[in-house]
Amino acid sequence: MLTILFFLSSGIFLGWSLGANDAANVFGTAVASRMIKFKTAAIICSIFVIIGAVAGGAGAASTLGKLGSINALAGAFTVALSAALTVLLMTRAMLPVSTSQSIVGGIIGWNFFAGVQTDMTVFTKIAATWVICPVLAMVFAFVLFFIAKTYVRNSKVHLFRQDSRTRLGLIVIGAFGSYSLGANNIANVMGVFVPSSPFNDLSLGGLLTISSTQQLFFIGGIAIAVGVFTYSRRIMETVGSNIFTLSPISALIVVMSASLVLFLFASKELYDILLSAGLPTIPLVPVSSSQAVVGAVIGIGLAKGGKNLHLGVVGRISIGWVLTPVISAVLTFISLYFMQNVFMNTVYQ
Amino acid sequence: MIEIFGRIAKMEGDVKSYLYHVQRSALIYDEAIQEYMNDDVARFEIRLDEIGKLESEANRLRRKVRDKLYQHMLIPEVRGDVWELLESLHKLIDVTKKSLENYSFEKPVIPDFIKSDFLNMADYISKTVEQLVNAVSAYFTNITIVTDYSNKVLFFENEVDKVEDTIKKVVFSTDKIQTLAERIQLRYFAEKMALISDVAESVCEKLSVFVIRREI
Repeated sequence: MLTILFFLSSGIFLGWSLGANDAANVFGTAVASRMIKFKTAAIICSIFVIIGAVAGGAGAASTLGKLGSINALAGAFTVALSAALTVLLMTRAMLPVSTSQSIVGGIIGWNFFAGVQTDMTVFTKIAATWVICPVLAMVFAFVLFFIAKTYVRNSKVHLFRQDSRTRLGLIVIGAFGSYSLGANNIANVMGVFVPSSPFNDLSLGGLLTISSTQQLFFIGGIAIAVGVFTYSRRIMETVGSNIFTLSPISALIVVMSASLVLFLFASKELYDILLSAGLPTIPLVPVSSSQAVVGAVIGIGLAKGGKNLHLGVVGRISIGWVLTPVISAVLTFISLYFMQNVFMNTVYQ
Repeated sequence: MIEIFGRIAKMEGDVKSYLYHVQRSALIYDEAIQEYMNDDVARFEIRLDEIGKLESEANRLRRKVRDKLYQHMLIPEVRGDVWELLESLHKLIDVTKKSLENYSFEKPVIPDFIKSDFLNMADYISKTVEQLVNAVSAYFTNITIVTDYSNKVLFFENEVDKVEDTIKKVVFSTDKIQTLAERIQLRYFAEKMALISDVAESVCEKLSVFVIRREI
């Protein structure tokens, strides 16, 4: 059990880091502007992240599995650890980084090490979503901004009532955003451990079966929740007040747009509906919530006339699209070498 | 959540009531000036007493709204604006009361030939405040029409200034007023009356900025 926990620790660390950093994308503005208390935000975020991870995390994790099925627990540990270290390095270097892109680089690094052919179709599909994600969030925010503006102008709702409705909206959309974050990003945290999961399916009185993957995702969800409670407050307050100089309604639109994007890239149900209707499907891929938020903020900026837009951030993000997976892949390759030849662990079957 | 909506409804009521007090102070002012010009001092003093009570009640409401705004962390992005707006409106009631108090203390003799100008001025002041209250009320409920009311405020304020100038010209050019002291006193009263609409105008200017900040 201890060995299992040790090998899962890198994923748990990734989960903690996700909770500490990315919860701010969902509740940052609400907490920083004192619209919602941190405690309320943390409780809602934790509950819905775990629900999202367990109930809706399978789709995006399955796509990562197609990119590279890491079949040894020590290999999965090394990939997750290298991805986490890449995120740490990039953050220290003040470069925009996404856990999703880092984990993809890690898997490719493992593929190289294990001599497994990387499915380029899957990789292209994943890489395309990195670009589509912020663009889609931008489009959603742009459209939602005009809908909200028309509503606010025509509804003649009293300022105080509008404020209380915005608070309610921030809680509801925050819950939806947390669910989407859990569903979409759990693949980054625990996805690499799925093929080598040390757990067996659990049957609860024959009524409900919890699969080994769901158990993994539950642990990942708990790790995210711990990250939210232990470290996200400061990040929510700094990120919320520094990056978002938006009104609460604009902030609500940003969170809504980013959450919708995360949901679209995670919802297996929607994927099945589109598939059965013969419509083009949306790939189930873990995407970056931070980049979705940046896209949505740009969308709001464009809707307001495109003034004061810092488009340099887009260039920095695109550098991250290339740098993050490359660094992660190289780091994983080197780490796997040490894990196999120095620590004498099987990193692939 | 029901508790929050109940609290919100009460606050809406408090703001509405506060604005009603501001508007009423201007109406009372108009009435009081008419009574003074008609030499009905007793009724004028009742009006002055009335406006004093109105100011105290408005002050209580203003503090109540402020306490709730800050205690319950409401409207964080425009809380300061709303508070400043309510404070500026209170200054309006204050200068209105002071103008009447000056009449009560100094009892200026208004010559008959300029009484109609003073009455006109009071009427325009009342209209200025009425439109300002409409503008502030629209700030809370429908920002699209704030500018319409603001334009009316500026129009009536301009009318007040015109009447003020007329009074000053007449006071200093007529032979019917004997002493310089009387002329200066009348000018002073005209200026103090015009100050009410000046304050209304400055609230209106602030409001125009606050409206921009309320845009989503």
